[in-house]
Amino acid sequence: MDISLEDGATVEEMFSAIGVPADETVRGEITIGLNGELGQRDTVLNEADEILLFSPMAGG
Amino acid sequence: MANGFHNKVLHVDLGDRSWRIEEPGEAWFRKYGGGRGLIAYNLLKYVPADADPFSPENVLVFAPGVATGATVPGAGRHSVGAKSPLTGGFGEAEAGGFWGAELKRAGWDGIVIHGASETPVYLWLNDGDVEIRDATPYWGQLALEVEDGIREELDDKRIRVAQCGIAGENLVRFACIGNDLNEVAGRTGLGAVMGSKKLKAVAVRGSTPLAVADAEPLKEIAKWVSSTMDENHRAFHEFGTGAAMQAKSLEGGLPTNNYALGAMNTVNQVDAIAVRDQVRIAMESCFACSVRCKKVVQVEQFEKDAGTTKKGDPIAFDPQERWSVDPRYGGPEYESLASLGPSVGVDDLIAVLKSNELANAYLMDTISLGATVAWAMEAFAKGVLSGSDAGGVELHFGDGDTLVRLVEMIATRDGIGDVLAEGSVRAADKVGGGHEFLTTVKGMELAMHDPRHLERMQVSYLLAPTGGDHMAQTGNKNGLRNQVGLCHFLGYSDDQSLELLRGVTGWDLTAEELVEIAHRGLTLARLFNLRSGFTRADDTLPQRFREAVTPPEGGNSPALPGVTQEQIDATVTAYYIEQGWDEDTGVPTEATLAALGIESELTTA
Repeated sequence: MDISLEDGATVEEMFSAIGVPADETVRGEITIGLNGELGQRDTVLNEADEILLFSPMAGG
Repeated sequence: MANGFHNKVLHVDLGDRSWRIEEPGEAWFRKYGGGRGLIAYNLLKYVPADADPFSPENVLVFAPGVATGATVPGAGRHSVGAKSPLTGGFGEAEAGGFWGAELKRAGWDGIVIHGASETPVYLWLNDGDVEIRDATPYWGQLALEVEDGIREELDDKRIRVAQCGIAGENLVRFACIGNDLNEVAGRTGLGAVMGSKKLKAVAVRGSTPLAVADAEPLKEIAKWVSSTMDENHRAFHEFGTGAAMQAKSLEGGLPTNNYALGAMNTVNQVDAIAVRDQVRIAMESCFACSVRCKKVVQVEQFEKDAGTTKKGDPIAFDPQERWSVDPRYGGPEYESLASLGPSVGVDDLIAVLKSNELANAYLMDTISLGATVAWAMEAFAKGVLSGSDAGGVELHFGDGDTLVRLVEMIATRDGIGDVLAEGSVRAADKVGGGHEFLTTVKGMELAMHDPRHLERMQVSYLLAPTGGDHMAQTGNKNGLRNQVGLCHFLGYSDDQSLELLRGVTGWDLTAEELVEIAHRGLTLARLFNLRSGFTRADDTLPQRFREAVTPPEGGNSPALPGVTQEQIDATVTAYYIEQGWDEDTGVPTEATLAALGIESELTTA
């Protein structure tokens, strides 16, 4: 899947672009890894950023 | 006709090698379900308050639930319980695989082992036939040899085997009970209870599918699981557990170096994504489950032996030519990846896999194993445990080779392994220090979810009847699943669980009744702990979790504050009130016992 984001787009806007449900209980639980650090939903993305999204999991 | 149960609980006395069948009746199964209900009921009925967990007075209970063995995803669970040699209180652990379903197919709702044998024996249940057989040839053998040996001896490859392992024989206080080689009832040291009874294994073969009242809702639910895999179970299906370890590390909540740190900068070398990309050869399932969330890993010691899988994928090898890892022992799930990885500072994936494989071969709980080694490494770093105490073994965080060596030393009680086989609390007592960095509740090491990071874990750690348990079994939803034999990983709604259980049993169950079943099980377990001497003072967190957890050097994860006494007090009191227990002491009130219909013989010992 290829998606395009405008300059200055945030993680939140990326969520919408890739189809993450606009549901606080879903989005609020996602951990955002941005270039190896913790990102926030309002973090502005830059060219070539590496983004990892994690849903919560327990157990084992 | 009974659906979901057989009205047959097998009681075996290993002392005089007799056995009898108990018929608890339909009302009993509707009241308790099985699992924790069956375990707690029998512990309260048979185990004297002052019984040593290793004495013949202790009983060992194998407990599927009414749903176990029904052909629907998640219904392959069973529990095992006894008075715990690790905590001295209510001991219980749950496992998946096929063994529990096989026991139900053989026509049994549970097994209660009384007494102890003088020589090694194993129990052979061939449908309704019960036999106590000589296990001398299997004593001292690794799990794989035992399973293969019993199947060969009885000439049936489809026999399912649960067994105690060499660690259990050696009374390692966190020895577990394995079944199907890649599943364990891991926590609270039940393998050691089995070993103390000289019961090497329970082999089962059943030929009759479990009767259910109405198969239609089960088919519908099974169809829902397989047709909505992407929406509901994709992460489990793809990775098993452990794919979110980088997330924990980013958030500062990854148990690292005995919970002193909250992140490991190289966590991506030992998480489930690394496992999938480097060493995984397959995913396997439990009984009747399409989620298939269990990893299978394989590593060859030498590149020349590596070759390819049946599907043509390359098999991994150890670039340092130290070890191979046998796929028949499965692969590590999150708790094992974390406890044998970041918890001991190890980012050497093959050392993590090897220590996990050895834990499954000797049969030890990877959580308490990793956490006890982590404690020892901190004790060594701080000089509490000296090189001479350790018999010349240097215990450094991050040393995967030593970790692997220690796993075998603990299982065989060799050198410093003999001290660590007692678990971290008794090890601290023995070496005379290091109590301030224990990570235990009620004597059991916490699982790999930091309560400073995940606040919802606090109630589970503080109040689980087994001690530092992460499965949130304090809540009635998970508590219920334990008792009926349903996996916690299946994303069933409460309505689906109700439909499923109505389909299995034919009972006109209500949502309120299901909550009561769980409440009853938790209340019985509480009664057993109170009888064993626990008080409110034991519903607490140790010093380590009252301090802030910080990132490692060079890390950017946030520091998280320690849990306060006020938080602990509030959580404990709220839970007591919710459960209908005295809000100060946690003793179940007379009104609650009456409302739950708990038999007076269970409360008067």
